[in-house]
Amino acid sequence: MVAISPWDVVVWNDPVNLMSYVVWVFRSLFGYGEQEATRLMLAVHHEGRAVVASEPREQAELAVTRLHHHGLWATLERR
Amino acid sequence: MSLRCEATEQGVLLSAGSMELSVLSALPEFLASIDGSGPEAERLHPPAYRDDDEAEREFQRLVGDDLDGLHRADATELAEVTRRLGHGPIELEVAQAESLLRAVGTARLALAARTGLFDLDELPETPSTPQQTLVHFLGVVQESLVGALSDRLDTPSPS
Repeated sequence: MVAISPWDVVVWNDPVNLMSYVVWVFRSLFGYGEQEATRLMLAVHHEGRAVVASEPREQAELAVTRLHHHGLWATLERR
Repeated sequence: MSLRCEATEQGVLLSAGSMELSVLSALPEFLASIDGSGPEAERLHPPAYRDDDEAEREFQRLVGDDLDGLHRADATELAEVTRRLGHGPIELEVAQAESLLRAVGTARLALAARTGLFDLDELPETPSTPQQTLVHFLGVVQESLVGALSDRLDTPSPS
């Protein structure tokens, strides 16, 4: 069985999007609970970036597209 | 401010005063005015690959038009919602409310980019220009919708 290397989906800090909105996006797109979504949002806010998912490349690209659709800055990078 | 968003069993109950409705009704035209160039377009089409130009070109080739289509669909939903709101409070399905939330957010980001507002901390507590007032207002609309949609996320689904 060939292991598929995951890619990290990274969200970058964006000082215009509302914190409450970012938390909602994380909950809505990734199914995170309130606590984890808030932790990730604060990591983005304070550290400049946070990994919100790790997926095979095609799924990571889809996640990034969905985040862009929601107005967030997101990239994918090899783990 | 007489905009009201409330979670319901089916989705979100939405009502707006005439001033809010007037502003929201103008957004589809503003969104349609965003062409492929300028700071707004740049903000709405961020790169997916920071360090790989070839992968980024391929990504944009595959999904660039899709993203534009998704934004247009949200703007169309916004136009329909504001048309219905003109007749009084309306109940939106969750997908419609989410579409409205994204369209308002897109307009807010585009307006901020167009006016050079890159950091909310630069926005004075009391907005002093029409653009600042609009960015502030759209943020309030977003918060209201997020509140109602988050209430639904927190409500257990019937088994």
